[in-house]
Amino acid sequence: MRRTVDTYLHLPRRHYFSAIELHAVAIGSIAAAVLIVGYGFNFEPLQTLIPGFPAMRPRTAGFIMALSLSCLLSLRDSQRSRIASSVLAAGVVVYVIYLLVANIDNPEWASARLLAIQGTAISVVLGGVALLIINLAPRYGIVAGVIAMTAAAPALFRIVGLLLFWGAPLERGPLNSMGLHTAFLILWFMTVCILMHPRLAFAHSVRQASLRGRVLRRGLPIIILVPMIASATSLSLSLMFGWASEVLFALNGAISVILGALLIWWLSSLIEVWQKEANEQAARLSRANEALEQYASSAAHDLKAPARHVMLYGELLEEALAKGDTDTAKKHARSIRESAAEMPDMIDGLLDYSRSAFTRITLSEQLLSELVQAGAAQNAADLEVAGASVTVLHEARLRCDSTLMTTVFQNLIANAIKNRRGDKPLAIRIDAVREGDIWKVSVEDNGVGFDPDFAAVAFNPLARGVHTAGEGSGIGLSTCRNIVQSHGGEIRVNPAYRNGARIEFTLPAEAKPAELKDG
Amino acid sequence: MAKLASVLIIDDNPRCLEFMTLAFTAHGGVEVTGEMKPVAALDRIRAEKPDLVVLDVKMPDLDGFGVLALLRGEGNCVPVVMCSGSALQKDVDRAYAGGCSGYVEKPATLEDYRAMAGAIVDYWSRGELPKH
Repeated sequence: MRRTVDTYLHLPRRHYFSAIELHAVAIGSIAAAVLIVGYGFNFEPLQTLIPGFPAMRPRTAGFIMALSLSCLLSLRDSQRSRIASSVLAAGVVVYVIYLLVANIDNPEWASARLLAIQGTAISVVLGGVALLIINLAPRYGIVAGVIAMTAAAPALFRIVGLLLFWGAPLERGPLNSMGLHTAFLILWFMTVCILMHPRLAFAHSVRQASLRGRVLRRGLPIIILVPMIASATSLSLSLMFGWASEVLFALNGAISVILGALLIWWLSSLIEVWQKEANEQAARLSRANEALEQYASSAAHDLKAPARHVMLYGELLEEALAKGDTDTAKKHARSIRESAAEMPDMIDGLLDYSRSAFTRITLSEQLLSELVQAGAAQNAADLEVAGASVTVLHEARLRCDSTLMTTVFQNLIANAIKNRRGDKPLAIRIDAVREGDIWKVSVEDNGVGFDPDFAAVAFNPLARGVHTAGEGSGIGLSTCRNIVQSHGGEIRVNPAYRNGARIEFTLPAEAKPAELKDG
Repeated sequence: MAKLASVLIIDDNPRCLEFMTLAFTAHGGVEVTGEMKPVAALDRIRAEKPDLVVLDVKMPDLDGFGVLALLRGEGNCVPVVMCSGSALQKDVDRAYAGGCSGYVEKPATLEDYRAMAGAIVDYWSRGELPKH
């Protein structure tokens, strides 16, 4: 199976990830309350909210508590917690399967004769298997996602069915043993503790600023609502008018198709608009890159002149000294000094010119991890070849242009890949620290690092060729500098870092780029 | 054989102008003058009718291509050798398309400067020079 970016991208725990722990505790606590209070004190409302509805069984409450604890353990970073979580989940799975097999002839268990298994038991097994996948094989997260949905969707419909039809409408269905509490807790557990589990990165995909995230955020709630609306409408009408089941089937199908088609139509029109925006951004970036390349060429040409003059005056100086002509020698020495003095001014002038390439920047609040993920995705193939890992140590909300800042991370990650060592896997660590009113962002790797002399000029497009390590930096680092500077920040190579390369840049927390007023 | 008697060097950079003047002067046998302003240089070409023009490419206001186009546009056939800090093929092509007589890259050493000046003077001393 091909690795996705998420398998080598290590993102920091987010506030909504830690919220999953609270959810797991809440689910486990409710199950415990049902078990201890409901059964211990015969407190019926805790076993089932509505009299006449199927109740939550003590054993089910125990299973749900075990799954919640397993989820809590799986959220910890240590290997030991993950193993404990797996053992617990595996224990639940094995025990429930044993119960299913051992009780297959039990009249109580066999009440659902159409399928001699129970919805709750199957859901618990599915939850356990999903947790095992999360702990042991997170790269097959999509399987855990499908499993979670397989358990969550029937639970959701069970809840709606119970409430809508005042009890279990399917006397002999496989779900008919599932109480309201049980269905609710299973739905809750599967959607939050499994689907939103940070190791599966589904929540991250939903929240990310990319096109994918935008489609998921709009599409997912509706795709859940569509069958709900279709089923509820068709079932209500059938009950009201006493329609036969084939009418119910046709009505349900028809409403689903119409709503589904409307959803797709709406999403396609949204994507068209977003695509247009993306194209415009790409065109702007392309223009900016062209301007930079022209700048590099122009700068090389212009800087050659004073360098050549210094050499030529040097020769004239030698000739004058050989003839003993001190006055002429002094004149040429002065010319050397003046020619050399032209260079810094020339460089400054060219820099001002090149910065104009980024006059239109659109500032918005962006999550560091999302920018890094987008930048890493651009290098996905190379990262895979390098067996690299990209870790974001702390989350930060940066005020920046998302397209341009993505380019910065894309270039910095590409630079780390180019300059990786052959003898160990590449590890890229990205961090952001707030200091006063600026963010200090660092990108460090364990590659060959920068030559100290090169470090001083690394961001100059003319520094190509000077760089001997790896494949060279090309225009990438100078592009990074232009972008960072256009945001009002500065970028540099940390010359003291010896374990590889460490590039640091600053961004104002309240960005006021000078270029905005020009654009 | 017509003798190459006068060379006008046009370059906005005084240092480049100095090196070029030194090189042609060192070769000897020709009267070398320089001009830093392209527009003024056009007037001087029309008035002084030099035998050869050495023309810088990159100049503010009016670049070498512009000077060449104006000269050829008014039917002036004076030999023009373009001289630039870089020899990008597209610039060379553009210069020849515009009617230049030669294109050289600015040398990096005094010896090369002298060799270049010598070669240009010797070449244009061989045959009949076009009339203004």
